[in-house]
Amino acid sequence: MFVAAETFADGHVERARTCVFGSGPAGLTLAYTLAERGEDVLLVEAGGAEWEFESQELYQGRVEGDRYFLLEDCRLRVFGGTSGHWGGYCRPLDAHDLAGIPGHPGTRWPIGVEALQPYLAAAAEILEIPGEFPEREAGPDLVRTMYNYSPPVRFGDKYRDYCESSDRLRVCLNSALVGMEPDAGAGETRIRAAEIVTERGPGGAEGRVRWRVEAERFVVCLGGIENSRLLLWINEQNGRALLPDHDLIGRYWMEHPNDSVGETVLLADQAGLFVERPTHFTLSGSYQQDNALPNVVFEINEESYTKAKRLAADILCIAPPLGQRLLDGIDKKLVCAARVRCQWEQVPDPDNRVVLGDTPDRLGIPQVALHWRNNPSERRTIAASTLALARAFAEQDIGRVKPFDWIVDDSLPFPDDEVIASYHHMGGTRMSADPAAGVVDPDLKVHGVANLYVGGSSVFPSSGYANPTLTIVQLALRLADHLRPAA
Amino acid sequence: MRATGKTGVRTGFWRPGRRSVLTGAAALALLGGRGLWGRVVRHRSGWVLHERDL
Repeated sequence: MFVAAETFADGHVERARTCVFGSGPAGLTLAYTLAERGEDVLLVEAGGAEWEFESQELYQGRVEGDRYFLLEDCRLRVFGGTSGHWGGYCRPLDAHDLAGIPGHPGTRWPIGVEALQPYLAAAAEILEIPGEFPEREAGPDLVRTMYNYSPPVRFGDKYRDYCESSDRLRVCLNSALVGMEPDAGAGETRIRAAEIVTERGPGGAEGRVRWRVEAERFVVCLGGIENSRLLLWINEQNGRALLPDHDLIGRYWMEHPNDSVGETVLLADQAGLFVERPTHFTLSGSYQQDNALPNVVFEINEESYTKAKRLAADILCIAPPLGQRLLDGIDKKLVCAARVRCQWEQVPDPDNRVVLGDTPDRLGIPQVALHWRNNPSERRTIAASTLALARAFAEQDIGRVKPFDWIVDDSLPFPDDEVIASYHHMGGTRMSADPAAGVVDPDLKVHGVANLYVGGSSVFPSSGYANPTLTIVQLALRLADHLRPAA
Repeated sequence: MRATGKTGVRTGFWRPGRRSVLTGAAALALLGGRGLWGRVVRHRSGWVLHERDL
């Protein structure tokens, strides 16, 4: 049921066995699954039932480094969270993603693909996609890979009726986590209560109420930036004594940069590729491992007949047999032109991080400052991977690729006509069995705190190329099993 | 395969006079060695082509 927190009196206390903060894909998946298993769950969402400017502006912050989106634009502070921005691309991480990026031991996940695989079917059902992701070899080093496409599921819409009717799942909207109170007892630190502020009216125009949640365990699912920001703030309020390694929180933040890397002409046997969706290729796991390359995916987007003619004419001048073959094929609709777009994995960098800025928001929490730069090593990733794709296309006669100049000449800058990122906010509270290397353990429990957990892509030690939502939901289902196994 | 002058095809990927991301032996090692490149070349126009295309 939805509980009107606006009507609480100051000092009010809500009690639950489990308190989940955030109603995006991680938070709602977890809260729903636990409630369905009979758990008493309180879900606390900072945003309202619908998008409001006054709520969204609390996501404002500062970006330092490379150009990035406005931080209030690339996430949503509303019931259902940033699933409202989601494009619906679904794909699980590859086994070699969880093995880490070659040469970067901190990127190895403390869990293997066997820990996520059992949750694939259930996650696919939630996201309303098939649970199979067939791949096929397109050459010795090249794989034709596949996404499934969610409608996309908007989590607020999907679970609104359930939340209204459930007795076990209570939802408080417009209620922001602003603090946590540790238990002073002996042994491992426990969180006794969370402090919440609920604004009455847009932007608190009709006042605020400050109340508390007492629960056995707390799960922070606030998103790939807010998870770090709130843990930093809560630790700061507690004299940096609550979480053992304050400096680690917020580090190794990642995105999925992407950009157009070249043009291609595709040949006859591939001409049926573009029936409904773009086509995707990646390099084999063994090729990546052998060449110490992070993961990438290439999206092949068909372009116009005119463009195909132009590219074929271009090739006719330098490679007459191929050019003639292409021109003949275009008229028979057996050849097409396409733009090659690459989405690549960043090597996690400790200097790419979420920190607390100097300016407090209207709730008194420092606005976020996001430090983010494309790492120079990414040039190698893009160049080597794009050239490997081009080679494989030529060898297998799939097509021919013309990489853009900036791909092969690192004296040229990244193109700056657009922000090259994806709204994929990952890392910051990364998972590790070692408290010195990660914020949460393999069960997503915060190191050093007995009853505080983190859900969402902030726990990713590395990102692969796959869009993160499916993995977020898999991890949330796995966390639900840890907190309350299915009967 | 050597540069022909006629087509401008060169062995390897790198245009003359340009600083490459990957140079010399490192590039060849990364790309699997010259032998594995077989007959695929990067034309000075930028297109990556197969020898049979020319």
